[in-house]
Amino acid sequence: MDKSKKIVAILVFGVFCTLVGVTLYKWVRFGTIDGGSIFFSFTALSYFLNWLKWGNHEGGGEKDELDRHIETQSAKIGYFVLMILAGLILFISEGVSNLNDIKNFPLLIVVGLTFVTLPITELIYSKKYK
Amino acid sequence: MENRIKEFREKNSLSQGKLAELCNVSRQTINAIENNKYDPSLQLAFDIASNLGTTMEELFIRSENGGKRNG
Repeated sequence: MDKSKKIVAILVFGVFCTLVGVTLYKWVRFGTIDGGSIFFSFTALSYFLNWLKWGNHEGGGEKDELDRHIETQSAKIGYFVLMILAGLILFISEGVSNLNDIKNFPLLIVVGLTFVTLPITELIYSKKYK
Repeated sequence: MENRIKEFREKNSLSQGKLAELCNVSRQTINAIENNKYDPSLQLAFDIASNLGTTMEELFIRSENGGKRNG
């Protein structure tokens, strides 16, 4: 990574830390949770991680076949990690272990969708090769 | 899948970086292939063999168990 890329990475990380700091301050000081700050914190963190790996905030740029292989495998692993995290967040936030006691239906639907999104995508994508 | 890239590369006095440049890939890609961490695509395998002045059959050795898989 050259010097200018390092500077951009540090700046993006600084923006992320600032946003997290503002969110935590508002939460501790005023007891309010700022949805916008949380959203933009994650956006800044994703830009930072993309800069670290690809030298591009959106993860684009020139890639050879090993890079594309890394992307494909990471997407698959990331999908399953997200599936587990969504399930964990659902059960932790609801504080119940019985599915019938859950009140947060949108999140329950999101967890359900994580089970079907991959098979549906595979089913549709496999038609390309028939 | 095992390979003899290092052997042929040294025979041709090519560094990993130079071979990568000739094949339009990164040095990390050549390094991963050489160390059997990644099986290249058919196109890249042909490019490597051609740049090393050899054939695919000479360069790549099929393992009994099919070797490491990319997927």
